[in-house]
Amino acid sequence: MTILDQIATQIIKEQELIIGPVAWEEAKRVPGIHVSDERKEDVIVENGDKKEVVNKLVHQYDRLFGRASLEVCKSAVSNIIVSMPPSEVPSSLM
Amino acid sequence: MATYEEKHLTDINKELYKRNRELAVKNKTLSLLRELYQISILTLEPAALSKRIVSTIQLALGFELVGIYTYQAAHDALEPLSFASSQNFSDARISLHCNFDNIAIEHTINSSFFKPIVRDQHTGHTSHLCEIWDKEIDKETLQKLQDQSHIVTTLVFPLSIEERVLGVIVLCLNREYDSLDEFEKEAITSFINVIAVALDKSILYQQIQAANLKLKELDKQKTEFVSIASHQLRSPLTAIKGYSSMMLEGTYGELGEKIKQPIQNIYDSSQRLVTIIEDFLNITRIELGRMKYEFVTLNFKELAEKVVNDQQSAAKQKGVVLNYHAEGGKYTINADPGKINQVISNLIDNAIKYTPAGAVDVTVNDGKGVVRLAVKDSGVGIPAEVMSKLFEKFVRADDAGKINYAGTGLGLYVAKQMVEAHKGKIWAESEGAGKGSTFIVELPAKKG
Repeated sequence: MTILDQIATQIIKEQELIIGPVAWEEAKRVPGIHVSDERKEDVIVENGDKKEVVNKLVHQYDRLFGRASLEVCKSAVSNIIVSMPPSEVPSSLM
Repeated sequence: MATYEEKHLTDINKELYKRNRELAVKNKTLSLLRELYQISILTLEPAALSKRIVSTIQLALGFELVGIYTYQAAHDALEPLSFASSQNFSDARISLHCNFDNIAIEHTINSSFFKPIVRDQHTGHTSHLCEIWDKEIDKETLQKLQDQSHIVTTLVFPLSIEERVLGVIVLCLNREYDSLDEFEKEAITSFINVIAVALDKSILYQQIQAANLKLKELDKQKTEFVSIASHQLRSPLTAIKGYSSMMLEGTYGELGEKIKQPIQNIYDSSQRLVTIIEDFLNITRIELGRMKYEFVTLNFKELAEKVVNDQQSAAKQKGVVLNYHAEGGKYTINADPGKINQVISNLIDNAIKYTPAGAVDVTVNDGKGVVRLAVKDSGVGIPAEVMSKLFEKFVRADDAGKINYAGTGLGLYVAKQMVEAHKGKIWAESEGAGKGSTFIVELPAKKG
């Protein structure tokens, strides 16, 4: 599991606490996000521009639920991105 | 282009999300509080309690470091209790050989950072770790630790009960305090009080445990003292009893009538004292685990019959009829004859003493894997309030003292210990004061 896979998983799990299973449904709609097993929280960000895929995931929630959802995404991964070089952090989470 | 209805729906969606988020925040806070509350109920020892608390908080909130210190007012020092840290922090600490787990923070009143926390119960926050451990660890190491573990803010909350500071909790975060979300802020303010109460309770528990240990030690010393004192008393008493007996028997010449009764009184009193001292010695042997039992195969009926015969003269002197009845059976048991003799003697002796007039019936029988002895009297009886503690030390019925002044209230306690050492049972039955009583002993019969 790459660090961006972990970030995507953490975002979806945190959104699930607020909106329930819809969080997983919306994540599956994002191109590049592959959810093989919700129960096992098995999320893979497909190869390519992984940062951009995470940005799209954040945007998906933002589009539906507004700015509050963006804050939730940032807060959910703050402990992970703190040790990442800024250039590797998806721009939506900065 | 979005229609008015679509925009309206989106707005409702966003509002619902906000409300749901508030509920999720409360839910998470309550879950964390419930977890901490459970820990506080299930864990009593301060070190174990604080260890579980810091681990739970660190995991739930993802802080870099969570630590609890207890405040020792007498030394004006914060003593470390437990820490939990992120992998980042642990790695940095190991690489820098920085160990503060066992380092107390001393002279807090002289510290500009800790003084307001400990004295005025204010919350402290700093962006420099060296403000926390300014004297204990060098600044350069602390700065490296802070940089490598990405600590941005350190919060220190006093843990206090009724304006008494018990300790502090240290939280090291990789963000500014203002950037914490609602859950984190609400959780922090909520759990501080829970931790303070739990810590207070566990410190009290520790103090009670220490006091209890001290009491046990004192009790042991007291028992040792009684044992030594009793042994010292027994030797001169044996001499008093022996010489008075010899005088009564005429070894030193015929006694005049005037002196005979006082010598008899000396003999009787020394006999009573010997019994009392023997009881005390038995108690100390039992409590120090030094009572020795020498088990042999014996016939319980024969032993009981012998004791009854030995007590006949005392019963006659008192004007009490002592009856003995034995049913058929083998009556073979594995027991220490001296101890069982003492138990039966004690029960019959008590029955005679506490029966002003009337009869004492001793019955033995053998069946269902046990041999049984019942000593029934028509004496003072046992009030219900005394019954439950009859076999405890120094317990006597109120009326008992009026009849037998010399009793110590130790005989039944010793008897119970001896019977239980034989894996047997002893109990009493009485319909109340003035209605007589029955004492029953059951011992396991020897198989085969």
